[in-house]
Amino acid sequence: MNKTNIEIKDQFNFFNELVYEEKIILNKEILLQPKKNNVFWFTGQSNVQHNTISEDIVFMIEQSKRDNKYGIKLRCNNFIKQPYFRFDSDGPAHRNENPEIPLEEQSIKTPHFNSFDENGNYIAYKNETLKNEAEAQIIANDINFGISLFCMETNSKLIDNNFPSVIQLIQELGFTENININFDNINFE
Amino acid sequence: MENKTVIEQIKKSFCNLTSFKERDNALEIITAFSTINNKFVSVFVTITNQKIVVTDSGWIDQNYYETPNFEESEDLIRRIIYSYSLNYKVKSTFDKSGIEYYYKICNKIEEVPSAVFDLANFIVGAVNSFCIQYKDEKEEKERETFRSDANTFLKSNYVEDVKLRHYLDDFKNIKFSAIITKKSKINLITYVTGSTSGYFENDLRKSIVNFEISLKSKYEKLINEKLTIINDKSEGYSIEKSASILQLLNEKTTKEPIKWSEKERILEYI
Repeated sequence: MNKTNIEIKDQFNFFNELVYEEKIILNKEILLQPKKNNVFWFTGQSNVQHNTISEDIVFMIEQSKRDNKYGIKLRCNNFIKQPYFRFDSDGPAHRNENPEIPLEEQSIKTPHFNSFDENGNYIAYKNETLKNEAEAQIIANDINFGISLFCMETNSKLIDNNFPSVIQLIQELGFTENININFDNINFE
Repeated sequence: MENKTVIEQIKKSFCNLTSFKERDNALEIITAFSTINNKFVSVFVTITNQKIVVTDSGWIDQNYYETPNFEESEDLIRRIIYSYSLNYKVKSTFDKSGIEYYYKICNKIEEVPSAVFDLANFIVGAVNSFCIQYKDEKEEKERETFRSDANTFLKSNYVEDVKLRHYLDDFKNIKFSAIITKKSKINLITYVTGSTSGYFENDLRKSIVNFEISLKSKYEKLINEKLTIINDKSEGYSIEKSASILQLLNEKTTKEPIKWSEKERILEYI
């Protein structure tokens, strides 16, 4: 597998500009709708207006109806095919593979941000808020906190300085406030 | 270097690498096992219906490990996962919505570490099996380029008389690279290329078999030329290495194999 992203390595300044320069998210509310290729996921998006870059940029949210896991992403398909910056509320810890980092510090648990370093390596990190386990837990459980955190980290906001909110079609989602897998309903023989 | 220091360092690092998340429905163990796409494997321990269950919680099925999707390799991946599940005695079950959960059952708490070890090893194997690119991309590319160049050459010279990747009507599963019909006679053409001598010789063998089978066709008497175009620019091309197979092919064709660098010779024959 090719772990290095050449485009990001070659244009690291442009990548940093994409992530950290001011951005306006155009939709105030983001409607989550069933994902076409996976019935367990809902997805919604908004276009983004970047202060200095005119490429098409999209702000994306995905949420699992199975266990409340959600992800927030920024994409710029003209630059790289995969999202260039992400937040994962749950899921596996990422390994920042680098012999200079002590082994036990190479594991970055979720919730975490996914980004790239100057060599184009895919990395995960926690900002100061996420390093606080109690706060990280609250953010992982509430998508709106996650959106605020993501927007602050990436210098994104609405035109009125607020952050976007998600609208879920409750009846369709059919989940209660605290979603969790109920292992009692699964037949482990 | 003192062994004791190294031993302590390794024990401490390995031990600290394993961490936990206490969830409402299970204890998540973030193991020290990692995959080739740099994910640490998590397993979940829960007590349900009086059983201690160690499970992946559907993470493989739901692609939480974010593996690429090589659809063409599905059969291969399934076989690899099956082998791992046999070896680590991992079972699987489906929930009501059809999500697959891999798991092991423990009879007592003391068995949990061993089950976690097995399931984590299984997940590493399964996730890695999804990450591997089984198709040889270089080979695919070289093959496609040569096929396209040869097709273009034949099309520009024989236009409507050439059918690409075609078969004799009574042996539809035996495809020739091209069939040229001229003056009510059939001319069979095969291409041989390969980025390694192995791939190259496979093509040679295929040509031999195809020409051999054509002898059994009811159209046999209508066949004029049986020609092979070999890509002498391909990395797998070596007259010395493939001498014996080339010799055999020579006996099946009507003319000596035509090198791509001398492709104009085809026009003399057909």
